[in-house]
Amino acid sequence: MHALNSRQHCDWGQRVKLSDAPHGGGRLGRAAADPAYLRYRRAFEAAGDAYPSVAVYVGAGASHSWMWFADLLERLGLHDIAFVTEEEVTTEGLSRFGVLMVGGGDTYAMAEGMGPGGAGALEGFVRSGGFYHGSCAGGYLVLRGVDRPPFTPFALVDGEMVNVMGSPPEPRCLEHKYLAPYGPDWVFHPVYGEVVLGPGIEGRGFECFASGDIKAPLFGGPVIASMSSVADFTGVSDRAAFLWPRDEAERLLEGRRAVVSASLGGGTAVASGPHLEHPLFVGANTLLAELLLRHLKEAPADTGAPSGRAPSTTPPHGLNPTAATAQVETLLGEIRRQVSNARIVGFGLEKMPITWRIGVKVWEPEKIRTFLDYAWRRLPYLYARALYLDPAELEPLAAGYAEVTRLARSLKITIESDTDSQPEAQSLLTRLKELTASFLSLYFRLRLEARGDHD
Amino acid sequence: MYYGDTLLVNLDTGTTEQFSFDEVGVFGPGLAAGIGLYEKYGDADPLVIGSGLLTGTTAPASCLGFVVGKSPLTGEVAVSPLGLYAGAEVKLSGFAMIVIRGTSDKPVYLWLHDGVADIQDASALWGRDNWETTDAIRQEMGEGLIQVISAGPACEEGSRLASFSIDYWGSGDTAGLGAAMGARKLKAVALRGLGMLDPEDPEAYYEATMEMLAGSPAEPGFGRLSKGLGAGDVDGWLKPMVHRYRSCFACPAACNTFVKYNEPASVLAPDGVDEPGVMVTSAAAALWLMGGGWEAEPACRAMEAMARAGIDQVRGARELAEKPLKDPAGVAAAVSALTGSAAAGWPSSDRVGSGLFGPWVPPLGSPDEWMEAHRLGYLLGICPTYLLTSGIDRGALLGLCGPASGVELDTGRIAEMLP
Amino acid sequence: MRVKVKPMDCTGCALCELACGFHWDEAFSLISASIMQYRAEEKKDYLGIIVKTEEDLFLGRPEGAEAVKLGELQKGGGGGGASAKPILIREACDMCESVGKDPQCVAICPHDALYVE
Repeated sequence: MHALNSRQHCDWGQRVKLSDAPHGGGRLGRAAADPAYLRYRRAFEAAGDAYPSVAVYVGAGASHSWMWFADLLERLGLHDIAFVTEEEVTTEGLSRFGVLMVGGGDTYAMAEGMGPGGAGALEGFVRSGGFYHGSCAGGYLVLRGVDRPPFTPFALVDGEMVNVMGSPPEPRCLEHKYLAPYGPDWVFHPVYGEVVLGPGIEGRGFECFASGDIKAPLFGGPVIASMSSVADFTGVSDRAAFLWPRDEAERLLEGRRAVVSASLGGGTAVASGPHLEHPLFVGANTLLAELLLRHLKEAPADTGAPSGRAPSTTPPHGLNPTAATAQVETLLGEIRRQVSNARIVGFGLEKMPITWRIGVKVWEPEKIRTFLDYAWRRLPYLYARALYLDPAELEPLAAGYAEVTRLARSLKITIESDTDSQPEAQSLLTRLKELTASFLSLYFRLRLEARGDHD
Repeated sequence: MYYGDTLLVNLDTGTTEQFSFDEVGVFGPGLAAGIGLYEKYGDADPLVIGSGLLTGTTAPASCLGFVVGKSPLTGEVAVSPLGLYAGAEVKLSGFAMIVIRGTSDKPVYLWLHDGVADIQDASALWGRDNWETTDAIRQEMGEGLIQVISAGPACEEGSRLASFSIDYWGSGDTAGLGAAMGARKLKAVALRGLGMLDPEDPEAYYEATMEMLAGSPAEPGFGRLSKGLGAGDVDGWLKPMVHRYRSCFACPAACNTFVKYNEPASVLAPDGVDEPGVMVTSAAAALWLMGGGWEAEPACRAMEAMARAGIDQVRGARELAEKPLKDPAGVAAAVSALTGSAAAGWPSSDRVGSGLFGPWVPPLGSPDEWMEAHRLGYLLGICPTYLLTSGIDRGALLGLCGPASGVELDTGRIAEMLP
Repeated sequence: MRVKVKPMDCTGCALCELACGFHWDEAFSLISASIMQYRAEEKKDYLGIIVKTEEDLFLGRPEGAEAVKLGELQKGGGGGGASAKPILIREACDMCESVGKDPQCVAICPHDALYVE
């Protein structure tokens, strides 16, 4: 035996750096910690009765970008969030919300899913004092100039899309991201990636432009012509792909509107080409925050727009008894296990040369991990609030993520066997979308309940 | 620069528990914690798996993890290395250290992923070789990048030649800790994590490592080792079959050699045979076989057979060297007939390791220098062979501890941590 | 100018991925780099390097390196294969201009398997 027992212990461990948040750092962590959000967080926290209740659209046509709203809203301290589908839009489900956010995806599927009834519901929502923000597909949806069926009844914001023509030239790259049909014409995307935005007439004086233009990602959103705007395209970035020759793409964008808004009744509707909600673009995030804050300040008090639920530290079902807490921890462990298992499979799929076309949108395998990351990063908070969780609300999540792991592993085998993986991919991505919405609903409910703790 | 808890696995009960690494941090980083945990749970004769402070980063050769346990060969505590990608994957698994106690009543494997520990049934894997086991676990879990530390049939049987394997390629386990896994019915430890390592001062750490790498020798193959030992030209011996030289994680050297013998070495596309050859990871084994008069191809096939079976390639090769083969046909029988009569070591030296450390690392430098390279290497997670052959500034390496973790480390403290 | 790969000079040390990941995240990981190893076929020693740019991928396959436009690799539904398609969600290579350095993957590669051209 070696002289192990005579070894002196050193005073080392108390200072060893431990990181218990493997995904809390990096670019996302740095962006989330940006002080630019503070001003808005304080303003929303001080909003009292006007603290907004937010609906994020996850229904037909929504791709994965709706999750970016979750990041943004969390950074702004807005925790009264629900994830709604076309069904809630069309059945007066919006009446309990003051804000609706619609992200990217398949605009056709959105419009067809909501139908004319949904269009009327959106207009009614805004006229009654609501705030509508649409990025990319959510922006196309409400532009008045996007008026061919099935978009005709959706017309909240004045503006024409400029990026449409009958015979677009061949793209230089990103062919799969280039076109979407629009009647006999094609909507095309000359630039894909980071663009530069400056203030439009309505955006002058916005805090986000105080130190110059801002950057935002344009992933197929509209390039808009309109009399007035909140923000205009002022340039492109090296961090973009040019599907047209760069000078031609720049000419198309130059001076065009990127973000336009309209006041209807007591409400506001915003259509944005770029994804202002993208979690790596702090400046763009604060532009959206500014729009929302101004809406809340300017909206007449008597519009009837609903305010958020009063923050409470009392969960609906009270504190768990010990036995239930143990069950909660077991279920959280199972969720963690399965999210990790599925993430690992998803990561392995990312380098496989495969994509799936679902509707008019192309889905890449990396979106599997993207969905899972949203749950993974937030799981520690659920552990921290285990006392306030009901086992019954975790059981479907645990079962769901176990199913996702099974589906992901099966999908990998299918891809490797060179057989058609489209049906399995669609099942998996649909399930992931539903589950992520359920997970985030639970997460934000806990956040909302805990707000009082920090007051 | 660790994240996650220390994991305590009880194979008797099939349960796991976790506790903060802070609680045991008094031991120090890397192997100091590994030994400290071994002592803490010494009554249960545990196996402890861990990684060094800098493992998994841009520090040169920061590939090293370890397994600590009682060697079935000597009855004394021994350390076996985790190179290739296994050490880094231990670091990224979400567990700072892993303590395995007890004996399972049925074959199991541990699936450690992102801070989650699962004890999986391995009944279907029992009796299968390391290649089959690695394939099966990766297939079951749906990811080909999982690192698998497995106990091959020789380990299950408690052979004196037993050695755990990393993926398909064997390991530097000259202490028979693979047999200690087999005795516990622990077929494998599978690792995968998608984590992130945050240095205390990221930029200072990164820039310092870049400086070290800029002056680092990067001669691929076994040449530096064989030259240092005054041994024969093992690279030339292997050359007709060499497909590519391979590194362990983050290592500028590339001491591993992938050879192909089931298809021409020149085949580059992946549509050839499924198992074209083997990665030769043991310079000592190659030197023993070459020195014994083996032709390179049967020698490589013998190394493959030993890697599959979970046989220590060094002792196996030393024994095989006595009966050189020129024809691949006799390889399987020769490997099956191994008795474990040969001791570990290197052809050109009578040094067979020292203290906790077996003769995985070549006997370069003085015995004191060799030992110092092990202490430093296993604390920091830097390959000791690299330390002995690269001429790297060890003071600069120690200087990384501050930006890595906020703690300064010097040679005096190292000696205290690992006497 | 872009980062290119001599795939058979690569020894698979992953230092390029670490350096690139550090460039983006100021931390060490293998999940966020613009340059990535394709090492899923370990028994075959099939090791490639992929570099993602805004508009294409440089696929450093052992059997031949080439730039392939995004979207041209696989149009959907079918099988996988040995070629590689990286993750669009990863950042595209910016040649490390955003941090005012030379490409760090090239600088760190011990075997000159990466170069700028």
